[in-house]
Amino acid sequence: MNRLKTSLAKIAFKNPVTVASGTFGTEYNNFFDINNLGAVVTKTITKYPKHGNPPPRLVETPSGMINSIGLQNPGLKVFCKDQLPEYTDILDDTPLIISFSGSSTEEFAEIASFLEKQQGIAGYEVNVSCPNVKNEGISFGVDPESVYNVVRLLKKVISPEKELIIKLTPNVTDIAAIAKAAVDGGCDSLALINTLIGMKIDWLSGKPLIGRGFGGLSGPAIMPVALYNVFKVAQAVDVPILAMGGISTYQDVLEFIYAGAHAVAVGTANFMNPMTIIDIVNDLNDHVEENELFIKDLINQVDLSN
Amino acid sequence: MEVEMNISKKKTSFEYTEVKVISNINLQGDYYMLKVEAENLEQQPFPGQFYQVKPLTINNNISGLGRILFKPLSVYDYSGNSLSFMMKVIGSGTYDLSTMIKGDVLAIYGPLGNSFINDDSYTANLKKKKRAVLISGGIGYAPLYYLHKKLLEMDINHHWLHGGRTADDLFDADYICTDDGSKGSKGFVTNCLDLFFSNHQDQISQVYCCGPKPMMKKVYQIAECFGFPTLFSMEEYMACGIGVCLGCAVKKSKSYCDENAYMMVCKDGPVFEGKEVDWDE
Ligand SMILES: Cc1cc2nc3c(=O)[nH]c(=O)nc-3n(C[C@H](O)[C@H](O)[C@H](O)COP(=O)(O)OP(=O)(O)OC[C@H]3O[C@@H](n4cnc5c(N)ncnc54)[C@H](O)[C@@H]3O)c2cc1C
Ligand SMILES: Cc1cc2nc3c(=O)[nH]c(=O)nc-3n(C[C@H](O)[C@H](O)[C@H](O)COP(=O)(O)O)c2cc1C
Ligand code: FES
Repeated sequence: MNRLKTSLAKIAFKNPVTVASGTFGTEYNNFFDINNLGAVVTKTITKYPKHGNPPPRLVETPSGMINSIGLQNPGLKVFCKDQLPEYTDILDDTPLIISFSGSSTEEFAEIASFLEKQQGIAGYEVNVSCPNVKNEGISFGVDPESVYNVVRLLKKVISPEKELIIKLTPNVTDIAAIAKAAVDGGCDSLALINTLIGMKIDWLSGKPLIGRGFGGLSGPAIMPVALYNVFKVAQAVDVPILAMGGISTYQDVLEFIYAGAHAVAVGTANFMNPMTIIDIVNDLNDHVEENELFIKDLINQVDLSN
Repeated sequence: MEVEMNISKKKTSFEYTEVKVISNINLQGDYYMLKVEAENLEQQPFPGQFYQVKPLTINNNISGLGRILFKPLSVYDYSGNSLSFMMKVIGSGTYDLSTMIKGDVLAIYGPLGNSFINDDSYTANLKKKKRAVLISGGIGYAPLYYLHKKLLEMDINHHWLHGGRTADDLFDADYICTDDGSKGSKGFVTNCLDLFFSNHQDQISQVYCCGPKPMMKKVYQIAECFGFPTLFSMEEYMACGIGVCLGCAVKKSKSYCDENAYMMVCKDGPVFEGKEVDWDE
């Protein structure tokens, strides 16, 4: 009896724990068998290669870190030729989710059509936290209409058995409004949250400690914010949620599940200790066994009575 | 002694372990020598390689959540029984490491990155010429010490120049200097390089260097004039240490690519040929 079983709309998970895009790779198979994870999510890829942002790209902050990688990636074609086979070779029945991003609505669709021709992909996590070149460079993810348009077009391109996940940015006034737009467009599920914009300055020289001046804050520091966003979106829409933001223990996972998550992703905690994620899976299993719980029964069961 | 080194640039085998601190000594100023048990390590580190380290206990208390990342430290020495790191306290991560005591537990993974010594043909070539030159600044001493030890074992003649800001930044070498003149010669280590290189023009097979970036840039420029091959151990802020996060980027020289391309210190380095790096960045 597997008490950890859960699912998004179309992907069944043997346990609710997957990885956050950009914080994981096949390299972790050196530390543990990555088939023990509920699913694997790749780093965001774009149509053309991206060299990324000037250094420094990282800085540690209290209980967190700021990154400004700039979506460095080898581009769609090289990814499919070199990296995708590395994943499919290692993964057996563990679902593989590909994260991608585009600079226009049409480009999102183009990437999806190309990926549709590849083998071994269970679903897509669409990163909309990137500038829309046709809308004055404003991020898709902050504009409900842009999100709606991207999702609608993608829905036409992606085969019905594959999961279409839209990943939301928390850097908006009302995340529930964006979530609704994605659901109206026809997405299967939502992933949240991406990093919060943050900054750190060298107090002696006055220089920002991130090359581009600012970056995305992640890690345990952002968990309460992430948890509230997940709770808010879970109240507003009726699709499964893949939750992330600061998770580093199995207790954190349970908090997100109560708040409305069907599955969770571990990001920065992979850098806090490469074994964190496998410890989370094992600890979570011990917890549900000892307490005779089923993860599925806990989803969205936050107790608001007083 | 026969050379047994064989390491390729794309080495990817590493392990995670939790090891006990044998000793942690304040050398001078902000410098510490942290020695940990190494009997259980399956992999032998090569000079230039590093480990990602993080205290699990400090003073026998479990370390909190405040600092989250592992810190990269070069191998200073390795004996089979023990692994030593020489470190300089510059922020709270290195401060925490400096307060560990005997018996505390350190989480480590590695050895990571490439090495100063690439393969047998490389070392054979080193032996043909008379000497290698090691140049370090401040904590840049750490990775060069393990290299120095291996060069001695391999019977490769070398000369070590080391510079620091003050006497607190100085360690044993063939030539030492300080910015403030408090010990050794006064001035930057790079001030004497022109003369040193000219005097040994036909003998120098390889220049190895680790130190602050402005110093390394200067060393590269001078060595280039003489046509000496250079290897630098570079530093960038790291998160994963294994090529996943793409955080530890250094810019690639324009002569190797037409656009703004980056190399990852943890995976493509930390050792780079001087000509691979864009020193203007
Ligand atoms: C491959 C490699 C090998 C290393 N080997 C050694 C070694 O053997 N001994 C040793 O003492 N140190 C070594 N370092 C440097 C060491 O990792 C850093 O000093 C340490 O990570 C600083 O962490 P912290 O938490 O103390 O400082 P933080 O609180 O993270 O930073 C304090 C200040 O220093 C700056 N800073 C921190 N890290 C770096 C960096 N890597 N480059 C530039 N600026 C930085 C920050 O921007 C900040 O202003 C090595 C680094 C690398 C990449
Ligand atoms: C180094 C780094 C790189 C990231 N790269 C991506 C990316 O390529 N695509 C993406 O959608 N999110 C990316 N993220 C965001 C994470 O997937 C995640 O949403 C965020 O970090 C919050 O989770 P965490 O606190 O567990 O890290 C990145 C985060 C970090 C720290
Ligand atoms: S530290 Fe993550 S890629 Fe180098």
